Amino acid sequence: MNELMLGLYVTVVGVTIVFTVLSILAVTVYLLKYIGKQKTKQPVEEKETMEASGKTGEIARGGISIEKIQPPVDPETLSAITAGIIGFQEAKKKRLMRIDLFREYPTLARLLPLAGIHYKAEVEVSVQGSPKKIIVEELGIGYYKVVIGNREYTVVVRK
Amino acid sequence: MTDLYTLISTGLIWKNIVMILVGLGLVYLAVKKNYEPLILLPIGITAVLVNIPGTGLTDPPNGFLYLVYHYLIETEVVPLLIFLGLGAMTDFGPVIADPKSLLLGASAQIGVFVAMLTALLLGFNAREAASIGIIGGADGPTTIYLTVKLAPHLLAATAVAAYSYMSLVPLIQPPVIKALTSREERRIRMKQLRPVSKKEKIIYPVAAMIIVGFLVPSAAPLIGMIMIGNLFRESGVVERLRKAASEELMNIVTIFLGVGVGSTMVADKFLTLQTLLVLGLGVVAFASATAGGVLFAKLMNLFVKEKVNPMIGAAGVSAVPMSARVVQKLALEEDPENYLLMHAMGPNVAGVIGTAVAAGVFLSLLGG
Repeated sequence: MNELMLGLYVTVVGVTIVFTVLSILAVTVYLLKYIGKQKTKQPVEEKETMEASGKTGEIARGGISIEKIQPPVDPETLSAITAGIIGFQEAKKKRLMRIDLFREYPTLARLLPLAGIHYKAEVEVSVQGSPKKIIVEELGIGYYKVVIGNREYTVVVRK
Repeated sequence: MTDLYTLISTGLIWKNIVMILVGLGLVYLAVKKNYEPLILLPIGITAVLVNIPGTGLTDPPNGFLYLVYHYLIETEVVPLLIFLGLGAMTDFGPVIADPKSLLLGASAQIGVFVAMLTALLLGFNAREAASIGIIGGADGPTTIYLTVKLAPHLLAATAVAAYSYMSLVPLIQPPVIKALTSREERRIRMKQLRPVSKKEKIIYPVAAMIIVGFLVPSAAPLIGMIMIGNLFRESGVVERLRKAASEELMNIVTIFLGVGVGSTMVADKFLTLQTLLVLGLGVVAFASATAGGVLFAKLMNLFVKEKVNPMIGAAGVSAVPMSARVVQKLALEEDPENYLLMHAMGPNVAGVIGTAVAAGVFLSLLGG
């Protein structure tokens, strides 16, 4: 019985100490982030400059390539926007196919904005595991307005 | 020295034969099944050797295996050097990128205490129970380090259990994980870990050594050695030392560890009911540690904004990188695009620290 009581005592004290020590370590590690922040931010800043200048495009999924984006975005947002545009194109394609009017999308459908017909779609994309709702509106051929939350971006997709 | 005649006359020979078969069984598992071969092979073949009557290899004061055990294992030199090598091989980046993984590493240690209490209920004393419970940490060197100090007569059983079950992690963990999680939970995707700077990786081992050293001094030898090894690795200025610690030294001490532990597997000490109980409790320890990690991750999900896939809690049982791989495999089974390996590596290496701290607590409270 004494041994069992000792065991219970060791368990309570032990679990408490293990959690306390590792929690303190976790807080310390969390603070380390700020020390390393400057170092790790550099590549992102480089990318932002690249995107802002519009000199180079980001080859993205689904065969589309962002040529220019305003205002500058971080890689995660860029990925979300790219996914949003792909989703928009899919949605638009389905909508047009349903009315059986344009079977040769995108060749003909792409001309619609010239006639003042703008398609708008709300697309849900998953970026690195977290879902995002994106509103995409086609303003012209390869020219989009993308809204994520309360931020608005204008995007030019390479033809 | 026990010669063949004495053994036959006292009826001990059958035990030696059984032990030789056990040793050969370990060799078979190492060679054929590839179960932790680096350690189980030397343990197994040494167990065969020490059970050949009349060799005198384990007899004090000059038996070779006695010297290996007495000067390298009993003095804790080898387990600590193993930790140095582990440090030089370990990337703590996932822990630094996601500090909450340290809590998952801590939660898996609940299994250590559950197994200890179970051992107490089965009649082991507190020091023996602690040595058995630590098997749940799935960390061979820590198990050996603690057992030598608290219950040296159980060393062979706890070491064999720890290393055998480490290799059986792919069989032990999945049923426990699946029983405690829903399919939806297993499909949770996690945000990609942030990159970690070199500066953070250098500061981390120094900070961890100082913090743990001050808070749990008895864990300082284990944590200290792993962090020294890790500093060799991350500093980038002592490549020769890193290489020596993680390769040459690690290989040498692994040989001594295997041979030293194998030398304790003599028939009259190993073939006991206690050994069978230890082997059985090893499974309890591993399973409860896995459950502790998973359940804590589920609890964590009630409070955090970005959900954690509860399976990564299972990786808190150390067994680096085996348990992280198990989590990855299960994640891919549910969702072929869900890559959790790096997320699981966080709790995995955090579990090593957690187990060392738990061992330090046992030493403080139960005496070393």
